[in-house]
Amino acid sequence: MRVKDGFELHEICGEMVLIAQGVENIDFNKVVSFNETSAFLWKEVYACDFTSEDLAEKLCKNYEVNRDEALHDVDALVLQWKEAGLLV
Amino acid sequence: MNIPNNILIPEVGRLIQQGHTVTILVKGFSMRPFVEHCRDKVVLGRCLKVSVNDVILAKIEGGQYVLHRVIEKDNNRLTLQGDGNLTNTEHCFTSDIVGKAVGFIRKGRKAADLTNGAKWKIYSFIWLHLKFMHRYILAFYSHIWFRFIERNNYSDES
Repeated sequence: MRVKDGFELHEICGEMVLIAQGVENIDFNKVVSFNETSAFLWKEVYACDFTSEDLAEKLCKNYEVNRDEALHDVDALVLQWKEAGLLV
Repeated sequence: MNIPNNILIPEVGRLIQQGHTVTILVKGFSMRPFVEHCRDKVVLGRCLKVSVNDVILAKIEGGQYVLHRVIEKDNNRLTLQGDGNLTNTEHCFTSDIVGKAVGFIRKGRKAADLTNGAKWKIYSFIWLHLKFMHRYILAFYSHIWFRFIERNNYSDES
């Protein structure tokens, strides 16, 4: 899978928020808010093909988390990204 | 996202200055009866010129942000009043304007009622010419219309 092109991460109030690039109107009711970990993963896999295992590996490398926990969290995150229409 | 106004609105202003329009949820009752708290959204754009009757988002004296109508303009000094406010007015300068309302997305609709469109102009004309009736219209709206008819259709997120 791959994250959709055309989004930009902005920091607002200490939160990372994904906003579509180049769109004329920015609807703050539709922006997607990221925590530190999901923002990290987004940046890591932006413009690359990746699998849930790739994300879990990146989590394990950068955070103190075991592989099973990482995979569990990543599956939930991927589901959220899919539901928000951020993956292709 | 629930971000305090003092952080959200400067970001909104920055995006507007970049040439975007920005849509945010309206919070507060001061633009009743047309614009309802946590039900309607406002589409804001850059304010190149401000005129009486424009609705603007601005930082007023005291540092608070309001989305209110300009009721008086004296060079760069503006007097603002919410449509739903009977007496309270606020003051700011044109340099305090964050953006100008270019439309309102009401009642969960997808399309905005543009402020340069006939609907908003007719509404504004009627509202501004019924000043003597505001007290009664707002009382009817708050205590009867909104309480018994509209409230059931929209959730209050605040």
